Amino acid sequence: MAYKDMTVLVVDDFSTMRRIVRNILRDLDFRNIVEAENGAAAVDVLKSQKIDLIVSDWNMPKMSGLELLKYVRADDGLKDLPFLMVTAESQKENVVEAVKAKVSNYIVKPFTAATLSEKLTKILPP
Amino acid sequence: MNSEERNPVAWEDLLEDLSLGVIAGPDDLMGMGECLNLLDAMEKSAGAPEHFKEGLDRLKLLFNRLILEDSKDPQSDWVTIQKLVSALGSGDAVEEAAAPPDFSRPGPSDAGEAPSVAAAEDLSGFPQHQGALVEVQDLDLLRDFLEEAKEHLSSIELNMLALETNPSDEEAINAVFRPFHSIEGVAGFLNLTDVHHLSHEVENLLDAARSGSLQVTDAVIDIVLSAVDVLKGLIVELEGGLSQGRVMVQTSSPAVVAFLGRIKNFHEGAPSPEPAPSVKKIGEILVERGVVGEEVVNEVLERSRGKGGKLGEELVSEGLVAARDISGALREQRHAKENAASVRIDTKKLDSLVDMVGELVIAQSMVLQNEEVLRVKDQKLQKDSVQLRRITAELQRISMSMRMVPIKGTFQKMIRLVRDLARKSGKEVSLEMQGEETEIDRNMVEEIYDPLVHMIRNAVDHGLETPEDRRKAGKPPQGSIWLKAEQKGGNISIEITDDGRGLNSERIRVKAIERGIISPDDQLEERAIYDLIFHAGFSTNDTVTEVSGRGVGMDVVKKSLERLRGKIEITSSPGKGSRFEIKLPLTMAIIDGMIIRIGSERYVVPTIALKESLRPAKEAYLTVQGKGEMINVRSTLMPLVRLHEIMGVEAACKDPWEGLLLVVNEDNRFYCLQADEILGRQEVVIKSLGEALRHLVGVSGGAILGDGKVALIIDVKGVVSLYEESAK
Repeated sequence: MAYKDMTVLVVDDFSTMRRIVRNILRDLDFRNIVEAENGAAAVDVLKSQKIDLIVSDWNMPKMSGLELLKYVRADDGLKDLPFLMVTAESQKENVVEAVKAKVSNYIVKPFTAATLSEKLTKILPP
Repeated sequence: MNSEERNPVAWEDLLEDLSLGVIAGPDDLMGMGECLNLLDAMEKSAGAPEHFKEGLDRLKLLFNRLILEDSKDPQSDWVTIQKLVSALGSGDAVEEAAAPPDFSRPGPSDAGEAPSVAAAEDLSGFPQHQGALVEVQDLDLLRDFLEEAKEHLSSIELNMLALETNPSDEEAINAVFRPFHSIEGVAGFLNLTDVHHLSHEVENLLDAARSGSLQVTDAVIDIVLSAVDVLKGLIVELEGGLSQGRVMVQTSSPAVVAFLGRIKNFHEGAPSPEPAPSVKKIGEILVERGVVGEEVVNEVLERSRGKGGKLGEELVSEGLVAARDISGALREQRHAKENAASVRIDTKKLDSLVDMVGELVIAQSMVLQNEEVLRVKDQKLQKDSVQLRRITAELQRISMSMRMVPIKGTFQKMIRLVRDLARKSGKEVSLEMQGEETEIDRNMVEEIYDPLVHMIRNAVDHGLETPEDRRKAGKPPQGSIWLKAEQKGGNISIEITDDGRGLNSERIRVKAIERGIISPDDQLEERAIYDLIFHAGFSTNDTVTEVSGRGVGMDVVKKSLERLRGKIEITSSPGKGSRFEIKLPLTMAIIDGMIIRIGSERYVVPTIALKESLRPAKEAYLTVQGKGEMINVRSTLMPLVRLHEIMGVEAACKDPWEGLLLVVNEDNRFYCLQADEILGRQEVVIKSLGEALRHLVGVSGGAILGDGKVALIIDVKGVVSLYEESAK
């Protein structure tokens, strides 16, 4: 599936950050971008529409990125959904936890369109 | 996890899965995650051979390194992993199977070290162009970020307060951590190096607090709060650039460099969980309460030093102190800690805060009463201005209350005084206090101390009788003095009551005549006679005390209280005792005033100065030869003071029976001040008239009325003295 036909869910509690991620995704020709401000809001989105890729922050109130990941992987309909975790350099060691919880891949802030594209080719089905 | 522990999967099965897992390459992140889960399970597996533990640890380390992309050579690491796994299967010694992993670049996960110890200058990954200027490209994004960051910073401040009261509140730490984290993330994208740098450091600090490796002390809270301040400063700078349409970001600005240095010092000095020095130790409280002797506490402390036990527990277990006493002392200590959660502020700052709030109230009424604004019929504006008034009123109330302190401290000094005086005079005196929690303007506390001492001294020395005399009078030998404070409306009332012999009005009268204060013909009410003791000519040290039993320095007392715009009243009953009641305004900054009108002008007369107001009958007005105009009020002749003449304005009412008279008492004489009418009663903020008008007699200041116009506050004492001068 081409990027432009996919629906991406961007999860972050900081709206500026969502906007940054959205801009980068647009640069990569993604056109359908949905946003959620924490894991719990993301779950609501997942229940209401079909999502092809999740790009989620780690640290969020109410429901963290890791909790969202665990929820997705435990759900029969969603368990294979590509899930890209966004993390910060200082929080990178937490990534091992996400990897154990079957995260598709992770990306360290700040990142460029090129880095994101590289990660996406690794995790999206050809 | 639990099911695995109850029913462990066999080591062999796990190992087989692992062997299959390491067939794919180091790019397969999910595969590596699965391997790590297998390794965890193998560690817990019942059949795990002890000597393989090292191999498992080494595998984990390698996987972590690959996952975190810290490996210099992923392919060779992967080969090492495969060799290690097959060594586990064959039971070969691990050492032979693989060369030791390359530790030259340790991954962050290979040691339990707190991530917070990154020193300020060791910030690999951060560009370090000293003072370099970088232009921000996406201004729109920057604007949004600054707005959002500001919101987050204020939420941080609120949450820090929560942390201050409960430093181990994990949710609160998280709530502070998250916004720093978010700010750091976006700042990284926007190349805001300083913002990024700073929030990164604080984030590390808070992360250590979150993981429990750092205790949230006052020092930590200080650092976080000052980080918020520095960030706010950076945001203001960026906003300044935004308004000019071009944002150049300076890196390593002095404030940030200073802050990073501070964090570095903190890490080098940390950890230092120090208790607030003002909080007393349990032992001190117990000794103070007389529960246990100081020697006992020291002895038990000495003994328990090595054991690490708590003093309270030791004392109870040795049966030296009851558990109830310990819990009481602990409660006191806790209470003290809670009270210690305050800041010291320079009183000058407080005063200028109160001044500025006063200015604010005035500016507000000037805006809201502006005729142009009043003409606007917008409902929203009206609603909003009501809200604005409410807020400023609350702000005023709070800023006033910040200057208020309990009168307790002043009262308690009297305990010692009474004890000393009683001992010296050979009298038995009990002092009872009431209303010590009543709050009073800080600036007044010192001012009322001397008058209080004077009056207490008089009560003991002259008011109370000797035990012998008291017995003869059928009273208990021990005399009593009651000290009572209370807030009554806009005033503070302080009462000093004794059950002594009371004032002897006849002897005061005789003395006053002797001194030439009154003439033998003067018919004075009982109360007016008592008031004579405040007369400056009345009290001289030599004879007065024997004559009146009172009066030492009472004129001084009265003068001090007048300076505070206070009043003093005496009630006394012979043989039963006396009561001196002091009335003070709640604060020096506000007075409760009557707004009066004279012609087109309005004035404020302090309510505390007013006895009554009346409109006299025409017949009550008379002219007395040599004394001028008088008003007969219930058979007392009071001089008529035409306020408009003194103030130099045109009055609407020429004759006193058309207007209104305000009865005031000054130096035991009553005067009638003539005004046109009373418009109402209002609390007004006193504004000084400035240097030029400061020495104006008859006016003590200005006040802004509800419509934003200025009214002068009448100084009754000054007005009366002007009147007396003109009468001469």
